[in-house]
Amino acid sequence: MQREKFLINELAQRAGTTVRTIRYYTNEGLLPQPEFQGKYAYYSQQHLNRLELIRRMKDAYLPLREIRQIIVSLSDEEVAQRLMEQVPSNQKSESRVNRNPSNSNKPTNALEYISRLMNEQNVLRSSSVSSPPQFSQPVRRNTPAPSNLQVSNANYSLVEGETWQRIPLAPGIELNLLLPVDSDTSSRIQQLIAFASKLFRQTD
Amino acid sequence: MTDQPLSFHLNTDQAFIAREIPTQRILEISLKAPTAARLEQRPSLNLALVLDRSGSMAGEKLEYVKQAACHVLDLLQEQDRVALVAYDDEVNLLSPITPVTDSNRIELKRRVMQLRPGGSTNLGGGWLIGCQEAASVAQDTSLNRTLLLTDGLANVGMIDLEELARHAREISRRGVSTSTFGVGRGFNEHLLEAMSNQGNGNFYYIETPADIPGIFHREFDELAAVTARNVEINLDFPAHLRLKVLGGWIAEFSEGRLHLSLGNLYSGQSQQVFIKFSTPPINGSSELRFNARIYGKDESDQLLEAQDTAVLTYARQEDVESAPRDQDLLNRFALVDMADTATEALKHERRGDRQAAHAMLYQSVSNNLPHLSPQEADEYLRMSERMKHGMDEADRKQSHYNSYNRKRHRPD
Repeated sequence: MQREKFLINELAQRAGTTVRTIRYYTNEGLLPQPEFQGKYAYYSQQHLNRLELIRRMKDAYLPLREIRQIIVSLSDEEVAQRLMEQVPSNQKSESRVNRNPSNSNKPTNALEYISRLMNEQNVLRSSSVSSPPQFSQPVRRNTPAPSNLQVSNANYSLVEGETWQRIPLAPGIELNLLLPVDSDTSSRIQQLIAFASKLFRQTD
Repeated sequence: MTDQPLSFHLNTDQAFIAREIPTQRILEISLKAPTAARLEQRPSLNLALVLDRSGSMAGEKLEYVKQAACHVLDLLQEQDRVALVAYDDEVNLLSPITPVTDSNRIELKRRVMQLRPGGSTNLGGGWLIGCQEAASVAQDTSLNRTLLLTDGLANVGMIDLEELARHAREISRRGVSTSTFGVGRGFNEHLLEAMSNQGNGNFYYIETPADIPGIFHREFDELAAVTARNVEINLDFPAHLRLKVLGGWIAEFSEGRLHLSLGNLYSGQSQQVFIKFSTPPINGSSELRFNARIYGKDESDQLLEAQDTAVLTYARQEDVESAPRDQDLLNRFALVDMADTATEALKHERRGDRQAAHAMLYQSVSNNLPHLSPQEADEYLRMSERMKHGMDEADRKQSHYNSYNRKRHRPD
């Protein structure tokens, strides 16, 4: 185990991030507090590891709230283990050096970015997109029709013509709703969802 | 009318800073987009209209939305393209992006008029499909924008404010901006503002459904009159300072440089960005220097560019304290500072932290009091009182929208 200690600007430099980001993560509970000695705050290899794991999860377009849920549940050893498992070491060092988006493998135009995001979303969560009816006039497109966005209807179970919608409230908790709902019920359900998301956020 | 070029200036509330003690200073970046006499040269627009057809839109709201969409279709010409997306828990691409020819317009309107209200709100999914359509035909010279209309909370698919705002940022950085339209009382104003701020577009609160067509028209007029696209500012500042940017602008810091992204500006539009900072006491140095450069593209894709410098000179504390400060600048700053604080306080109020919301706003009124008009001070004090007891949805939304418009210097 390394016993090296860094000041916040050294940590920022090593992690390829900014001092502001580190302060923000610490305030948001994504990073443990530094060790204080006199007026200096010292960070460790564990902070560096956690920053690297956060960066990878952000690159996978996970929202900060979900990243926090994952990262606070991991011990320092588990964080280190995940870093070893996920990426071969050569790729890791490259991604650390080439943080500039133009050098990295990040999508460079809007269309690529959106397609990647949609793929990620389809993996991480369920959603549903229906394809358009054919347009009566010929339509020129320079991209494939969005039928490739069609995702499974796994979140809908059709029983005798009933449509149920699953609304995730928190990890492992869902609300099931028989569609359609009238506007009054819909607004009550929105209140319920708002309350539930607040409630479960408080407990994490 | 004569054409006027881009104007760009840096100003500070006072040109002196104290050697002996920390000094608070305000830097104002003010700019004005070129005015164009002839507007028929407008860039072609690639618009995606993303319309909420969730159950709560049933009735009057959806009818006005249809009317507004048809109205936008009438304003667009053959050089423009439009995509129609309707979403509830499902996302329907009513029409992929297509040129607005006369015959297409008839078919597009038919599809709009067939819209029926449905289930819950996959706001993120609908918005992404809209962006994808606009992106599929984006060119360097076209303006590409998704107009997202909703009356509800995102409750299916992507629902996280921070996540949606970050994607709006990344997509606008790659050429497709986002404007958001919140109708009625059921939507999350902070989410829609964040998406439009990070998406380099505009946010609108539509209290009454009958206002929907008028507000769509306003958005169209602004887009059609854009004379400065992708406006960005680089500000080089002494690296030991910590700057705070007000007004919710997209701001990125790297060592000694602030990068601001202001999106598109229409003909003659003026904008001010305020930056607050404190200078530490120092020995030796005689001045601090801020260099700023603005750049963007005009309607015929030519580079627009300007620069300016502000210099702060170190002086004895008593000389600094007796020198006059620019009161007009401080008044303009106070309005934006109050609006920023009100937005934050409204977030607390919405979460139920009423006392914190009240205290935050009250404190800010006290700090800014010398620079507020009696009406403005009174308005914020009343708001801080209402926060103590909790606000109703209409009040939250109207108060938030007023703050947004002040931060961005937009008419109410």
